[in-house]
Amino acid sequence: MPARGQGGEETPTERLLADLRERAKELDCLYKADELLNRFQAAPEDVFGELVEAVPRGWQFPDVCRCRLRLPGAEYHGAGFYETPWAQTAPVYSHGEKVGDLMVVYISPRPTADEGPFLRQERRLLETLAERVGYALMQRELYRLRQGYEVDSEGGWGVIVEFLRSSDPGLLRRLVQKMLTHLQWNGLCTVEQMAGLLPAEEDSGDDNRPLPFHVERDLAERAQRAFRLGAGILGEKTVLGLLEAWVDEERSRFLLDTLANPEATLERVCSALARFRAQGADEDRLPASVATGLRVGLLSRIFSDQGDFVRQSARLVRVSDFFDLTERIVDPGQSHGRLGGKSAGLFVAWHALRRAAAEHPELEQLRVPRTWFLPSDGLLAFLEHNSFGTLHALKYRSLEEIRQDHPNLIEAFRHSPLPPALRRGLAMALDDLGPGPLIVRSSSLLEDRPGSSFAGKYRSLFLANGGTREERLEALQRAVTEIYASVFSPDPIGYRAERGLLDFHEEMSILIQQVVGTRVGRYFMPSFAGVAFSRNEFRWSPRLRREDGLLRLVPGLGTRAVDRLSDDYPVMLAPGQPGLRVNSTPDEVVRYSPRFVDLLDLEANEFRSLPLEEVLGECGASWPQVHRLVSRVDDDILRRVSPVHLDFQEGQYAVTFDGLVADTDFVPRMATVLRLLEDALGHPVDLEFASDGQHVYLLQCRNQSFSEDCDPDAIPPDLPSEGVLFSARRHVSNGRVPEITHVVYVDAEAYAGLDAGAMKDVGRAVGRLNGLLPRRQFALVGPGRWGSRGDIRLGVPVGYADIHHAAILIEVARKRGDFVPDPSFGTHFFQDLVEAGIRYLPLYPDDPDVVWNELFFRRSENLLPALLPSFASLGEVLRVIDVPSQTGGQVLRVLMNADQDLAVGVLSEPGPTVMVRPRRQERATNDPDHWRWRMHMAERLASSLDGQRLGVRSLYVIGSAKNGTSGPGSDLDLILHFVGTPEQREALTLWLDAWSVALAEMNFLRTGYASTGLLDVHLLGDDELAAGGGFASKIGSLADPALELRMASRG
Amino acid sequence: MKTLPLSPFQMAQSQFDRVADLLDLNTAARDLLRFPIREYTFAIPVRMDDGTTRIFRGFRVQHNDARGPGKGGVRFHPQETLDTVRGLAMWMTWKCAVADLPLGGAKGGVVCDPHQLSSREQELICRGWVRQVVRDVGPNLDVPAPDVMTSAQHMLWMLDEYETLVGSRQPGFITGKPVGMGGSLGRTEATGYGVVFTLREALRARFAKLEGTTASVQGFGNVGQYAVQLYTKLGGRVLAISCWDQKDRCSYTYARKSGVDYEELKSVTDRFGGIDAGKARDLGYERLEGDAWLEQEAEILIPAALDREIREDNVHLVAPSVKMIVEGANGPTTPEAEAILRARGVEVVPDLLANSGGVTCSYFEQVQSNTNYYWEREEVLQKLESRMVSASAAIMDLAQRRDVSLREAAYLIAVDRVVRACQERGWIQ
Repeated sequence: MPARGQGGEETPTERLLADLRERAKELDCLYKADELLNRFQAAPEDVFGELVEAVPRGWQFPDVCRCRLRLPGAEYHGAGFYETPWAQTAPVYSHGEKVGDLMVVYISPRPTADEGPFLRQERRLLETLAERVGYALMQRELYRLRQGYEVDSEGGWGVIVEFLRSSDPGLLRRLVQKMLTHLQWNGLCTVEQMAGLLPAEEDSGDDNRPLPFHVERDLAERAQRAFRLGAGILGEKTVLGLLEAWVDEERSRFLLDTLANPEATLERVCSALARFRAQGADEDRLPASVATGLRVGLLSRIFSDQGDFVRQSARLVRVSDFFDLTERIVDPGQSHGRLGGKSAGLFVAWHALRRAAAEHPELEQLRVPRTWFLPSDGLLAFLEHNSFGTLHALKYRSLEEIRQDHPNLIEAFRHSPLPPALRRGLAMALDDLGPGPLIVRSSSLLEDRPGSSFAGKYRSLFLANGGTREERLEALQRAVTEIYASVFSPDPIGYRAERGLLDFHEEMSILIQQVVGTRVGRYFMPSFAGVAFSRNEFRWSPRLRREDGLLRLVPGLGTRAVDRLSDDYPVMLAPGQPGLRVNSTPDEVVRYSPRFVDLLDLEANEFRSLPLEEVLGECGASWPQVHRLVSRVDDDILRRVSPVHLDFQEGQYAVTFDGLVADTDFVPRMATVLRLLEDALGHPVDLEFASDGQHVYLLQCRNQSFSEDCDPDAIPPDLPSEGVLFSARRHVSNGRVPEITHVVYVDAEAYAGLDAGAMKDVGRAVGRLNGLLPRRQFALVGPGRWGSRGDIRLGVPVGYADIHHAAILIEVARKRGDFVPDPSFGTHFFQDLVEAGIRYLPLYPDDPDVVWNELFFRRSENLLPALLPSFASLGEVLRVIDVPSQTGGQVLRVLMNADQDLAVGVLSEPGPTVMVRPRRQERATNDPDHWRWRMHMAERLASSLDGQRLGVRSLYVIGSAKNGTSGPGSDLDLILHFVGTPEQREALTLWLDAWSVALAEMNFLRTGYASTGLLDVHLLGDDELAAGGGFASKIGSLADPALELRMASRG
Repeated sequence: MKTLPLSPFQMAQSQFDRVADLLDLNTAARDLLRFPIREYTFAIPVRMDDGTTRIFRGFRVQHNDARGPGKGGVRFHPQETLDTVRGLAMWMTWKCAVADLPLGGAKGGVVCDPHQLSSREQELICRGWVRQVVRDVGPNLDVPAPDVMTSAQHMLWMLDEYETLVGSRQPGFITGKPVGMGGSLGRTEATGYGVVFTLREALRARFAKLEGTTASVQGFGNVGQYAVQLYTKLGGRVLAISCWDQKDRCSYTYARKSGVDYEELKSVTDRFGGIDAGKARDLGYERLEGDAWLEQEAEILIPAALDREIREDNVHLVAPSVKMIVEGANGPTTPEAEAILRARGVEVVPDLLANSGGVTCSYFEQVQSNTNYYWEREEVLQKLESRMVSASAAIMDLAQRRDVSLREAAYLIAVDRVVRACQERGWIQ
């Protein structure tokens, strides 16, 4: 076992390990000392006698270490103590005066270290111990006084006053003042009664009378009188209680002072807090103002100084909540950093819930994973340590440059060492966290700003955390540097630029958290996980209320519930009404159930998404609670799985969570959690959680209004009525709808008059329009239930594929006879809509106080015959309206505000206006660069296309590049009129493929959107052009005409 | 002013009227069969999850039970009407008669939207429905089954309520139960196999053999899969299968000249009948557009997916090689398209017959439940085959003798069988 200072053969890691062992001993010694010193009741010889025996354990060579404590009138020394030259001494102070000392000696020589044979840390430890002994003396005295008073109340005041007069006159003066103020403020006595007691102003006012003794005597007398007066009014016991509280308050002054001091490092804050804790200070006995001051100070110093956050949270946390937290902070040295939004949200939510657990015993089951924190300036320390200072200006370079350089930067970061203080801290964290998998997550200081969710912008890394201690530490360090690198990656920089946050100094703290879960076969994963929202913005039934909330549950890691996945579906539940499920028939339930599981593969040491059947088949039986998650699919029935027969090799299974809902109180418990947190925090919340099969762990808590789906649109009360096409006052959800340029309108009356065949034709025509109209820019407005399968008279029979390019689905529920049919709420493809971000709105035109401008929909020019000549006969029923051409260039905006339960469809100028805040989910799509670049490249391509050689007669651009709506990841759509031979076709394809790949690479460098090719080329022959269907219809189209480009030559 | 479209009941009536004319039925027979024999409409009060009470409307219509106990599903539908239920009940009478099952026709429903109801509320609706009709249904009177938006679970709730009310175990009260709870083995395969049995009989009637024929199939769900399995097993060659691709949100046709290997293709198919494009390509299948199944140079088309897939506007795509279309789905051929196909000499084996394997197996479930003795899968499929063969033979025979389409022949036989049962019972002359 290599110890420090013995020879030069140690590796850095060995040294580090030795350091850490020392640190652990120190802590052990301190804890033991605190434990002893807090026993005021015990006889001093017991306490101090044990102390001198315990102290040597904290030193590097305990075998030869001895200790002695000298106090007034007493001396304690450990067995075998004698003075030697190898000694360290620290004075013991009480009431500001030296009253004794604490000495540590080695009884035989040891190698030279920082201070003789002693380490620097040992000096610090000795001083801390001496300081604590001093406190203990004071506490013991007070305790004794109080005991004495209770036995003999007559002499009580005298003893206290006498004690303080000599030891701490300043404190006595403040106590007298407090007593008087208390009496006065509460109207308990008159000014006359206090005559002569109020501060003798002439004393302090006149510097010419330096008679301290006289003043002290005066003070003592004043004190006696003041307390006697108080005791006469309030009773002796109350006065003594007050005195005790005030003394406590005085004792917490140092913490307040530290928190108020902007110079104080995080380390000082933590040690002040540790002192506060060691004193056994009771927050409840502090005056409310002081306790609040402490909480506010701690919150703003440790987490964030956002006013709203601090104000709300100060009511929810207690000073003692910070005790454990501060013990798990990795100090980068001289830190002034904070822990950021993610850490703050979880900390406050967790402690708010723990408080509430008193009244809600079901919450006792909740947990948070063990977490260590790396404060925000760890990044600065890292940059400084490796002389990366110039990187601060990197964010002002072009995104293209940043992107090109980023891989190099990641490499550089990964090979750069962390500063020693950070390394030590991480090693400690690793020891504490143990060997299970870890997740390293970022917690940005900019994250807690309203509207800047930064969700997914910075990296979170899973670590299997296997191997030797050194390997684990190495992996953790690499993960930390990789996350540091992500601050300088193009995506968040672009995001910050868009939000005007670029000039803020980005500081990012890091959370190192145990991954919740268990080992399942060769994998590690939670039994299930998910996200929870206290407000439901995706209601699938009119019976659901927003406050019923929403759960998105998945088996395995929660990553699949957080992200929207187009090819997989989390199970959705409203905790307020768990019976009302999205899917009703067994077929729907199975179709919309999770198919993949995210997990950590411990053998491959990586994060993976595996098909559910594979995981079930391989190790389903060892998956905790699996019988509550999956159901067996037997033809037409979903059967619960028996915990006795967990053989998943045979049969089909689907994740339904039926067992979890039926057998456990998980859902009501989550409902309680959501409700309590929303009430406590004063805003809707959005949680992440995971279960290891035994307990549910809270992983994250954010303000739901900050997330992109849930942001209500501002609807001006004075909206001019002429531009409003419709409004709704029922079942409105929050959610952003892009600008609408086209409306596909199905006329209810005309539709009702069709026969079944024609109704189906309407459905097919809608499907065709879905392919022709600009993606996410058109609205579908129709009667009753879109997607109705059973009885198609209820609504247009479409499948999800027929509508999946729409921006919003609007169902119009008109009165028929004396009843209003229920709209479907999109139930036929609800989960597809959710995952694709297509919004849904029901309209009830017969309601009072709503607008329904039917004339606009009925009278506007109908593009259908021009777009789909073969469906022209449906012109009476199905109308396609080009909004800008009908309104002189305006677009339709659908503003939805669930808080007001109001939605309006209003015509307005395109582009951001005062009425609408910039759209968030379509980030960067408004950036004109994307389509300009594409158009430019299309022109370049055309100008170099030798049509004669390759058999191309003409070339057109269609789609987003032509319409100016390209996003960073959009394709470039081209139509080529091809007239050549098969050989020419082959040559052309090759030529185009090369362009496509080259453009994709260029686009990747510009935007970070990777693809295998950027071109989407449609080669049309003469026949197809003549037939006019499909893409050929774009040429000369009315709605969305193709744009012809000039080529080098024509074939 | 446009005329309102016909209700399902009016459509069923006019269809019946045409057949009645062909059979030259007398007034009494027409009056009896144009309307249901009994109808029940009732209220079902349900205490909802939120404590309020809601009243749901329920129906049971028994169109005709001259040939045996009524048989027909119970639908949960938000805009269910008595008229719809009447039309569907009549359709059930013909369907059971075509398959020559000793059963009558019935249908039921509840006006409700299961998407807006919790499972507990649906259970209460099921139990309420049974309480209202308990005296008028039963294993020997009228046997419900699952239908639109109702599943095996609903059947078990209904069965439990019924058995509680009558005080005995009566698994034959209802069909569509899961295996192990009174359900029948072989049900999954029944419809697809039935399609192939009728196909074989239709070929046989033309003095042709199934072996060596080629087919193109639309749909690879339950019906399509088992049809392909049996068809290839009997020596047919499937050139192409069209199926839905969930990821691309459109359908594709997978074609291979050497023919489909069922087991092989099944192994790259998900549980919804979606084929993995990449793996299929590795197996040598060519991926074509969704509609391409229609254009294959096959002799037989088996539409086994949705209705109205072969229409006036795409019927011209059907290759000249095609001689026969077997309707595995309900109503896949529109009347206009069928007329064109007939003129081209293409024979359409109608859904009423071709997909009656399903209802036949329901009948078997009833029989097994009533005796509380359950057959092996092979026994079920054997009995299915023999029933389908004889039902098909009767129709092929009539079609030839009277020179009518198979669809007309099926209706003629069905109505005729029911009329004769009514006569023999003395209800009409």
